[in-house]
Amino acid sequence: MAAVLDHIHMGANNVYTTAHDITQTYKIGHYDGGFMSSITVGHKAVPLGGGVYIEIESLIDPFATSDLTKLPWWYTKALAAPEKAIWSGLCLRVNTMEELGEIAKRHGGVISPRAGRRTRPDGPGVKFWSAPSGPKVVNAWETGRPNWYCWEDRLYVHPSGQPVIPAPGLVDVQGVSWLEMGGTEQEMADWLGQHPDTLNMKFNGKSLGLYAVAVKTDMGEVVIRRRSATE
Amino acid sequence: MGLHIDHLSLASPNIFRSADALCKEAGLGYWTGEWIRDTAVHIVPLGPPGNFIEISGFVDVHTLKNMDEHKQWILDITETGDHFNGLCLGVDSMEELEQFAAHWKTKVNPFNNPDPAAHFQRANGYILPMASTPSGKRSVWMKGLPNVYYYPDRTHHSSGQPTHPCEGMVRPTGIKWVEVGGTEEELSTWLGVPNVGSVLPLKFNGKSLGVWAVCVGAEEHDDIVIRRPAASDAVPVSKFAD
Amino acid sequence: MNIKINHFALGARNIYESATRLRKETKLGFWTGEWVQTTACHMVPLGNDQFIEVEGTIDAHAYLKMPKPNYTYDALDTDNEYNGDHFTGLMLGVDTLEDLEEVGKRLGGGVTPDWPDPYRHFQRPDGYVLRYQSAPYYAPGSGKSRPRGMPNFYYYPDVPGRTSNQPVVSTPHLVVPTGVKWIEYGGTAQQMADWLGGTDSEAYKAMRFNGKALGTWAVCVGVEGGDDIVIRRPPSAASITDDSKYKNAF
Repeated sequence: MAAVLDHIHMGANNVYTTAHDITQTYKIGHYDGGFMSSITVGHKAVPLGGGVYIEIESLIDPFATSDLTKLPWWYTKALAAPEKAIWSGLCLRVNTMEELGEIAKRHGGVISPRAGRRTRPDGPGVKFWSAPSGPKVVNAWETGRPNWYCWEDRLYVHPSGQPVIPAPGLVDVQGVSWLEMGGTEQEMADWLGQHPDTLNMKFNGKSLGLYAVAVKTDMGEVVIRRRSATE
Repeated sequence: MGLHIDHLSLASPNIFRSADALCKEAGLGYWTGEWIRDTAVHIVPLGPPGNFIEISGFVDVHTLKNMDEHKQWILDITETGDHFNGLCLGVDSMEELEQFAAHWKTKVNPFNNPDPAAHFQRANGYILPMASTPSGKRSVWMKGLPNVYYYPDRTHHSSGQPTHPCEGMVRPTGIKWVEVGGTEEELSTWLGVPNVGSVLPLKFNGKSLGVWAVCVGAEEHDDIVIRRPAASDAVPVSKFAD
Repeated sequence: MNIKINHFALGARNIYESATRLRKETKLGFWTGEWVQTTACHMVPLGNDQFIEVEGTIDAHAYLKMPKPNYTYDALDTDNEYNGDHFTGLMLGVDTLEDLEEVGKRLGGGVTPDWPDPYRHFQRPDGYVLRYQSAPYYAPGSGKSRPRGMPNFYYYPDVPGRTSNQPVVSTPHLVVPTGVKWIEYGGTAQQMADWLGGTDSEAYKAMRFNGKALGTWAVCVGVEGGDDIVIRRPPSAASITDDSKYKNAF
């Protein structure tokens, strides 16, 4: 079965102000996603409808480590961007671990040896598996390419389905209508193993990565542009 | 997941009082605000892979001026308090749901019925797309029998929504078993699923049909067993035999 | 003493349907889960510490056993363009228990006891018990009761826990209310002035009188960055033309 869009990563300098800015500017709500297992990274989720969400992340504890190599790869890029936030990752979803394993193998890697985890302020831990992973596999997001997740039987608590804060004037989000990607359609098709049209991707021929996300809402289409992580 | 338990329905004379009592009894939180026509539900998530109890009851007493068989059944089974009145199974695809419909020689209640009044609606207006079978004038619940559901989009499943905080709250880790009336053979025949006791975590007590208890695991806590009589204990299923 | 508008009771046949319809009409959000005995409310904050409680019966057996005729149920049973919605009460607020006792005494009664049983108070799902006392309270058997259609008075000791301060369910297109601007009330200015003990209060100054059946007929709510909202519903008294058969006041 073809993979579907799962989430989009926005690396930011400040998860609070960036989430606030997204809600104020685009009238799309968010909620507190807690913190990642790396503990230096805080998380807010922006449901977009259609089973998709943006995850905004930033450092929340700059003193957690003095080893700068442990800081997220996107952090300095986010600081350098005009909005202090960048599109730093695109993630697709498959339904089964078998499918995830096949994708990992096709890319010369394996499924991540440990599940990814996030701790929510109010709920059970969030757990997911990703691919491709492995010593010879470069982090897909750092090269501007999508990776894949599997939530196993945990779709019932998928981040895209959780309630957002009650801010005034929010629009009703109805899914992602298109994505603007760098590179070419053929490059992406080769990477994905499925046609990019299945993910409503358009291509601008620039360096690989995500450049814009268009969200369908009851008040019309909203386009969110940010610098791509590879720019 | 294949065929699995999705949720249990607990009919209540006062859903607020019942949810409060269950919370104090078991430490299970619940969320509020979902309704359909004259009925509302408080949802008690039970943990992975996505189970819940829906505590249901009338919230529009004015509709009782126009009684029907189903409303009378609800009144009768809640006269003496909470009764489990529904075992709701789930499948992972529309094809599997249609197989059950074919087995019962009936149709699927579609998830995309355009009439919003035909759906459960949450406090924020969200309607969860939900297909089920069997379809018909009389609910099979009245005979103590389960029905089956399919959700094309599980990301908003009722079991995953956040609850109000609850004093002494525990974190449920899922259904361990459900005690039902009747025998495995009876249920296997109804569902057309041989040896259903090895497919679903069911215990059979040979009493009247329906749910009698559910056991839920909880983090750093003893298992929680919630016992309430089956609806058939209050109103025999023979009343609806035809 | 200052007497303020505290809240409005909007009686509904189905609080879920009514609150949803009110939100579509006004873009005012609500929150759910509060209840006391056989009544539940969806709460609609109006800003300025004020709110509407959309209230209804959620216990069918209690309703069936209730002595009838019942004034409020008969009012709600009367069809109107709002699916039977009626304003069933106006509740005013005072700042101290001493003020409340003074009101109760002036009106020939007292204040409600601070019932020790939490289930005699509004409860929320998180276990919070909304404590309040009201006036005038007339002891059972005293032969006295509050005249139908006149507001009663409330005192809440816990300000942060107030109903009007709780977050609403997130829904698209909500507006931010800024408080009640005026109320259209039945009866005359003199009737209300006599009941309130004067015309100096914040509550009295927000009232306009239409000479019709006693009770709230409309509420005007301000909105941040938007047009005022006027919520019109008839009061119960508008639908009960002969109240002589009703023993209970409300």
